[in-house]
Parts: sequence; structure tokens; C-alpha cells
Amino acid sequence: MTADSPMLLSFKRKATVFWLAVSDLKHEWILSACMVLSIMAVLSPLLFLFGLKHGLITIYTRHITENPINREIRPLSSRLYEKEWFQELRKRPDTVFVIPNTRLIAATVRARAKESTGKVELELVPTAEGDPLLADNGTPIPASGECVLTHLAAEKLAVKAGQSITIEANRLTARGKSEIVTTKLQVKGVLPIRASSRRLIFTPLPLLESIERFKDGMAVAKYGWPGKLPRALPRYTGVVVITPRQLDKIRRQHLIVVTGFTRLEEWSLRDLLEKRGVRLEKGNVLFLSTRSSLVDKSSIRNVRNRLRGKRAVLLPYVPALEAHLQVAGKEGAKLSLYGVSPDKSLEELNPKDELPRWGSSGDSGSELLQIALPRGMAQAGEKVVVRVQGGHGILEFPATVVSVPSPFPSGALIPGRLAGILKLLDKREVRSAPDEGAFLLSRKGYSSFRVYAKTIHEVDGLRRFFENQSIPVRSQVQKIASVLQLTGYLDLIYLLIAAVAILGTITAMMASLYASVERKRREWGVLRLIGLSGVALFRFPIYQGGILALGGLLLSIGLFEILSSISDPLFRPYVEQLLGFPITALRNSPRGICTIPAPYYAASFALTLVVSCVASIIAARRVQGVDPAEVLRDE
Amino acid sequence: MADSLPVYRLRQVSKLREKGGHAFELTVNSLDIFAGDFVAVVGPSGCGKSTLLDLLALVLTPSSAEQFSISAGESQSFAVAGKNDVELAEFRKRNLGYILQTGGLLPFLSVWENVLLPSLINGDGATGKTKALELLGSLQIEEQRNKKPQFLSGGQRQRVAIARALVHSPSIVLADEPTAAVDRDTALEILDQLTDLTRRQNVALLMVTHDLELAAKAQRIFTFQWKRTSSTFTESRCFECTPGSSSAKDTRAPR
Repeated sequence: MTADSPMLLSFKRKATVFWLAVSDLKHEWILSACMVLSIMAVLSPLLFLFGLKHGLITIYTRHITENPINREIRPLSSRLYEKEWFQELRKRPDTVFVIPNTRLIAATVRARAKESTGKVELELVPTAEGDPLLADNGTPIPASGECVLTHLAAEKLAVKAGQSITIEANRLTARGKSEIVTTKLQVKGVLPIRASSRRLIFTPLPLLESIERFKDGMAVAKYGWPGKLPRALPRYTGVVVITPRQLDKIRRQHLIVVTGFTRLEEWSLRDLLEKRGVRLEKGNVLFLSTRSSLVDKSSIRNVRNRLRGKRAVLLPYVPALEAHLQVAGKEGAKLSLYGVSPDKSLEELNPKDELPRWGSSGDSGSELLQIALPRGMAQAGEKVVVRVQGGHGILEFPATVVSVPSPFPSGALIPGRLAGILKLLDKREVRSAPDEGAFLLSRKGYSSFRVYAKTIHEVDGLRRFFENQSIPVRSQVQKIASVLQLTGYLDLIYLLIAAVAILGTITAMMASLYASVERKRREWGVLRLIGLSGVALFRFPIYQGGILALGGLLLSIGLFEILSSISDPLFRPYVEQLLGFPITALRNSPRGICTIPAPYYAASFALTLVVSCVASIIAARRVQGVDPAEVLRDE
Repeated sequence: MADSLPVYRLRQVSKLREKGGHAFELTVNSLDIFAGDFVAVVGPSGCGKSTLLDLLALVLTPSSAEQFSISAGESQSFAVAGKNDVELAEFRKRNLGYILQTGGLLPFLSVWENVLLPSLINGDGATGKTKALELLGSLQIEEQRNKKPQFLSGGQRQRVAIARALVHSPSIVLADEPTAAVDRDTALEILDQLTDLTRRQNVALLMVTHDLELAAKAQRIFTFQWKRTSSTFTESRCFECTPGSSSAKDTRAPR
């Protein structure tokens, strides 16, 4: 015999059995073709059904799940959301886009495209880079001076992308007169009807903030709109009271009754020097303070009224502020800022050291921005930059160095009012606005917002997050739930149909293979006699089942590909008309309305082989059980 | 020949079969077949021919046996007792050739493929091809090599079966009524070809037949003596009745 290894022999035998199985199928090619066709008859509708699931149904559900409208969450009522709150919200992994919004009343504007046309009332909506509502609808994000309109807004205004519109906002003055301001915006794009069924105009947030400020009666320098300025007003923690003569007990107590101050302390002249840098020879010093909150100038005025005729000197007080000083061409230095505004009465007390006179009022503009530095730090008249950090951010402003030096070796004097404004930084965000000659209050926060969940699956979680913070919100949770439920049901239906079809295939194949095995009992006996073992013959129907099933699958796939390539161009326009947008606009859009992704093809081959094996097993067992003696018996 | 190992050596081998409430027992007291022997087994239906053939073809295992061994070219003889299905199939595959009454050809294979099949199963297709060509030549059926068995005449079919039985150079060829389906002239011609080939290859040929004229061509003849002892039991004994052999005189001729 040959010297082949057992493995090679085993392979040769398997190859022989496979060759026998193929020869048998070829010999009875009509029967084989019938079986292949019957398998195809079961698989083809199944493939077509799956094609529709991965095409049409996927397109439909994506149309809903990917529509940003369904991922949008808005609060139902207004309340103040601070900037930090938005920072936190943006950090959440389930949000993709967060934008604050102004009060709704501030968002209503009127617009028109030409002088001649009528005005259209629109709702302003803030937008920014990454806004899914615009991005997913293929609309550019508007920059400053630009806008995007919804379909209905553009229709009413009779404008197209590229044209300009004028929007106007109005407010009523105290006298009941209407004031109107306008600005021109270029239309960058128009959202399709799917994005919104309202008349909206999307612009960057600063325009909305400006309109809100204007409607609140404030001025907006950027657009030249008139009005008040949101000035930052000083806040103090106490007041130093200096009187030539000692006040009697009753009068002293009177100073902390309904004045805004609650504590009274007696300071020595040394205290006054150390804490305020004011050196006096004589005089009585009291320090009024408040335990908790800050007081404003009305409290100071109350005290002043109570001390009328006492020739009292009042120095509004805030504790020394830590600041960073930058003198041009020198290294930055840290130093403490003491707010002291000496007035005429103080001079009457003949202070030993000269104190800076900040100017008549020290109220605004250049008079406010002055500083007295320790000797040698900078020349008089030089500009320095002062930076102070408070609880609500950093404030940086330029200040002019005065000729009088500071009495403190590492401390500077600044106007008392400036110190009060810097103290406000613990409570509010303040910005330096040199153009407006003042310190202005920044926005405290926003009254509303618009948030997009990452996917529709995260909308409900976000809704709960807001409602746990007692923020009732508007979202599409019900719609989402019903869509998810529908897709779940559809998946179940496919699964059931597939299961039944696979069962049918197995049964059909089982029957055919078994019948074929039964017919060929004689041949099995001969093969057993020749020397094929039962185990080797067991493979015979399995090979045949596999070949027939794969043949059926290949034919089905061929048929499917032909049918889907015919049906796609036929039905695509109709589907797109129903949806209102091209299928390719979807992210990862399906190849067509009836399509099977490649991995599913691979899976279907694997499944077919498994199914054919299962279907062949009974026939295979029958073959294995054939007694070679039977052949002799039949002779 | 007597000094070599017999191809088959059976001593006190019996097989009890039951079918439809009727029991049948075959006993073989002594049976030795040597390489190159042409042995005929004769007897009418139901006498135990098939059972004997099944036992010799290793598709039936004996109910009891003092000795049942086969020696197929190897120095060691192959004891049948206790072998499993795969081992028996392996032995059949290498050492047995089979000729059935109507050929037993596979309908889905061509003549050439049918003949080649045993050597393919033995993993020795290359040697098989040379041998197959030679056999087809000897049997004068080369022109039929690409035909399917269904297109052959009965005689051609039997010749293909002979080629298939010999292609893998077995030690034993078992032929079950190999010429029952053809006319007498053809039968004699085929038998001549068969015996010629087995003799040349020194193969033990055992032919089962009920045709005494054909059996007469064999060197040795075995037959059966049977008795229906009760309504449900038949016993049969196989013995050699070769004319002139020692055991022939105490036997009765079959019915």
C-alpha cells in the first residue's frame, strides 16, 4: 500500500466522499435543480424582506431618530441658569449641543426683506457652531450679521439664501413712547420644513443678548442702540467713621440701627493707620460693619445723615484686595489694594502724610482708574495694568499712577469707589468697558436654553436629569418611545418570519435529502461493501445538503440583487417624495430602499451552512445506519 | 499452496439469525480457502448461501466461532472476533473485492469512475489508474469507460464490476451470482475472464451460484445440508462436496 500519512489519507477519503456527493448531484441534476429552486423559493422572499428592513424601514426610522427635532429639549418655563450650569451641562456625555437662550419676550422681532413689503413677526433663536438642527439639515451656521430662516419664515418674507433682511426690535420708554432699533442680516440658508413648522430666525447668541439688553432699556454700543448702561456699582463691607469729638453712647448705637450696618467697633488711630494708611494726630475712629452681606452707598448715606453737623469723615471700607500689578517693561508684582477716598473733612483733620486726591468725584472714567503705588515702583502719570481675581472671575483694567506715593510698603491706594466695584466681583461678573468709561455688569445668566441629546436613546435620561432639578422640559419622549417600540416590534416580526422560513427550509431540505437517501439504499450498501465506513458515508448527505443550500442561497442573492436594482430607481423618487428629503441626506444612509449590508450576506452564508447541516443530519444518520448486508439480501 | 496460510480459515463458526419469528442457524465446521483457489458455493435459496457470504464479507459477525481468521498477504492473520465497524470497513476496503448479481455499480459514476473508486477510497488513485486501464483492456470494455452504467448491457456491467473488484489488488473476490443476469454464453465467457484474472493475480475467488454447470468450473465446491427441526427453526450445515475430495462421500446431494 501507499506510504501516505493518516492525515492525508483521511483528507483523500473526505475528498472522495465529497466527489461522490457532487457526482451524485450531477447525475441527478434535474432533481438537484429542483431542490435548489425549492430552497431559493423559501430564501428569496426572506432576503427581499430583509432588504426592505435594511432599506426602506431603516430609512424611515433613521428619518425619525436622526431628525434633530426629536433630540431637542427645551425648558417649559423661564428661570435663571448661570454660566456654570451650562458648563456642567455641556460636559455631560449625553449632550451634543447646548446653547443658552434669552427670555422669549426678548426674542420676538419683526422682519422684512424690502422697504415696500409688510413686516413679519419672527422668533429669534440663538445658534452656534455644531447646532444639529442646522448642521443635520445641511444649513450653514450663521456668523455675526448673518441668519438662517426656517422654511415658513423664508416663505412669508419671500426671501432666498443670499438675500438680506432687516429685523427690528422695539421697546416702550417710561413715557410710553415706542423706540425702534434695526439691524441688517444676510440670509445664509433656509431650513427645510422638516426642521421646524414655525417662523424662526437663527442668529448667533450675542445678537439676542443685545436685543434683550435693548428691550430692558439698556444701550448696546455695538449697534449704537441708546439706553442706560448696566453699571457696576460699588459694594462695601463697612465704613470707617472719623469724628473730631467722641460721640455719645446713644448716638453711636444709633449708627447701627436700620442703617444697613450691624456691628460697631472702636478703632485706635493706630488701627486707622495700619488698616487704611491714614495717619492722624487726633480724632475718634469708629468702624461700622455688617456681618454677612455687602452694603451699597445708601447705607453710607444713612450713616452720613445720622452724623449731620458732627463734621464726621466717612471712609467706605472693603478689606485689602490682593492684586497683580503690571508696570510696562517690568516684572509683574503682587500687592494689596486699599480703597481710600479722602475728602475735604479729612483734610481738616490734618493728616500727617499726604493722601492722593483722586479728583472731584472719582466716579467714572479716568478719575476712577487711578492708583497710588509704593515709592519707586512707577513714575507718576505712567499707565499700569491691574488684575484682580474675585469669586466671579478676573477683572483687568488700566490705571494711571498718581504722584502721591502709597503709605504702605507693599500696598497701593486706589479710590474707595474702585475698591467697592472690585469687591462686587465676589458677587457678580464685572467687565471693564473703557469705551463706555465704566465697569459694566456682565450677564448673570440666561433664562432658557436649547439642548440636543446625543441620540434619541438619551433623551429620556436628559429629561429626567432636568426634572430632578425641577426644570419642566419639552421633549419628544413619547414619540421616541413609540418609534423605538415600533422598530422593536418590526424586529420581532422579522425574527419570527425568518425563524419560520428557516424552519421551512430545514423541513424541505430534510424531506428531499431523506427521500434521496431512501432511494439510494442500494448504493450505500455497495459503498459500505467497497469499504467506506459509516462515518465516511455520514458526510455524504451533509455535503449534498450544503451544496444544494449554498446553490439556493446564491441563486436567491442573484435574484435579490436583480430585483433590488430594478426596484430601487423605480421606488426611490416616490419614497423621497414621501420623506421630503433625499435618502443620501441621512447619516450612513442605506445603499437603497431594498438592500442587504455585506456583513449580513456573510452571516447568511454561515447560517445556510448551519441550516443545511441540521437538515442533513437525519438523512446522514439514515445512511450511516445502512447495513451493507442489505445489498446482498436484495440480490 | 498448502504450506502458505489459508486466506480464510473457519472452524466451528455458527450464525443464528431470526426473522419474522423464524430462526435459522448456519454452522460451518471447517472451511479453508487458499490464495488462487476458485471456490463455488452452491445451493438453492434459503439454504444459507447469503449468510455464509455475509460472514465471509465481514458484514455479519458470527454468533460463535472457534476460529475465524483471514490472512490477506500479511504474515499475521486477521481475527474477525471483536473488531469494530471501522476496522472491518478498513479491512474490506483493502482486501476484498465484490461482484454483485447485477454489478452493484454506482449509477452516478461513469464506468471509469466506478472502476477507479476502490483505489480512490484506498487513497491510491495513481496505481489504480494503471491497473484500471489494464483491467478494462483485459475485459474488452475500454470503449465504455465514459458511459454511465445505465447505458451498458448486462454483460458489460458485470465486466465493469469485475474490474472494480480487482482494481485495488485484493486478496479475495467474493462474487454473488455474478452471471445470473446474463445469458449462458455470456455467463461462461465472463466467468472465464474472471477466473483467468483471479488466477493470474493469485486471488482467492469465492462464487455463490445456484447454477451447477458454472459451479463445476470451480476447483472446490461447498454446499449445504439443512433440516427444518421445528415450525420455527431451521438448521443448516455447510460442507465441501468437491468431486473426489475426502469429505464428498458422506454428503448427500442437495435437493
